[in-house]
Amino acid sequence: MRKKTVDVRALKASGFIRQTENEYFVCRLRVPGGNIVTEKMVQAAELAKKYGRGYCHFTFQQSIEIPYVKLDDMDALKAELDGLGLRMANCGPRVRAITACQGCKVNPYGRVDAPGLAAAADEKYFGLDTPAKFKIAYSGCNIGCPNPQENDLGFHGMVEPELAPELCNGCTLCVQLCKSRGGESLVMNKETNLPERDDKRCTYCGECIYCCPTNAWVVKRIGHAVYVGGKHGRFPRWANRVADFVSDEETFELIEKCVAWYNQNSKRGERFGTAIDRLGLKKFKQEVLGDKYTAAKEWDVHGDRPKGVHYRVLHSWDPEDDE
Amino acid sequence: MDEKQNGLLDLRGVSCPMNWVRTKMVLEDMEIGEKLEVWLDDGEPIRNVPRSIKDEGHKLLKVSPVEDYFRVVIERG
Repeated sequence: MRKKTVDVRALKASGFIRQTENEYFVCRLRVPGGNIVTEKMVQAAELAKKYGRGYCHFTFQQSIEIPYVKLDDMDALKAELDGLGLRMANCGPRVRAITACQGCKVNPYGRVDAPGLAAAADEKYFGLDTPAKFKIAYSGCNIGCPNPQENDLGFHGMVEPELAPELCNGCTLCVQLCKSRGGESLVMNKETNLPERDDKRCTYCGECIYCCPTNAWVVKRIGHAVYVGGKHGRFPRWANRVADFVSDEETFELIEKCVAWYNQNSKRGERFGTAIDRLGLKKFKQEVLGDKYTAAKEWDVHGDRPKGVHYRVLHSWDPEDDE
Repeated sequence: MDEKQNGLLDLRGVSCPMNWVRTKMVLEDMEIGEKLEVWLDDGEPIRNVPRSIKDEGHKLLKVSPVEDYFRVVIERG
């Protein structure tokens, strides 16, 4: 009997990934931004019952996987998926499904529509070939749950506040919340009874705008911080923050520019961050960013913490503990 | 049932949303313009309760940190 030959690489690109046991494949479904309508979720579950072993796996890239699909069943499963409009994700050296948190519509800390942008970007850029895997994440705020600093290209929402002094009643709530969130950029001016903002210490989280009982804090600028070259794995690399306050449209533009630069400058298997290290961040910035975007604020290595800030946390609670 | 004492409602140790529910019940029995002081824990309570106060049309006059909690002065709207 002739053995059936399988092009594992091509299968990987289409979203079927070989398992430890050679005859089984994982079917990876595409869930950009982590949002999926319940109907499709039920359909995926039914297919996992029919073709797999009755369970699904949620990947770290927010995809839903159906494990234990037999080689012989793949075509039938693919046909059913196509019929239902369930799209498959991918694996291998290309732009992966784009991830996001819940964003501003759901999460009160969110400042931008992260899942909406992730879904739009995914429509445009999913599956583009790159030298190695290329992961993109959108976070709604600078808490950064989707780990923008550990993706090849990451974004998080940021807001610059501005005070409308005539509306402020001097309640000090913003000052208290700024401190408890580690920013410590606001202090009350005792003479004017108004909060004053130290831009050097501001993390642009927007909490003052969100909390203000009299709407005295307003949005001056809103946009995304841009991180490039992050990854985890055996040799993790913390991303470089290269620009601040880029617009929604500019995040798409930057995806295009980064992917193009990466394809031009890197060879197969080299991750984006490694290419930036090899060629120099300066060269990357010159060639990709030019002088078009607002430069990232020069902060301490880990992106969000101005040097010399003392963290006075009144209580050990932190929004990240609530996950 | 009026649980405030001398215009003060101590909600330390009371988590969301019960701290707001209790604040709201007390506010409802008050006259417009009357003041109430509530004590709220840091973290979620100080973030959430003032927002509800604003949404329901009351005024938040002052927030003062004391050790590990906040004293919040509200004017019934």
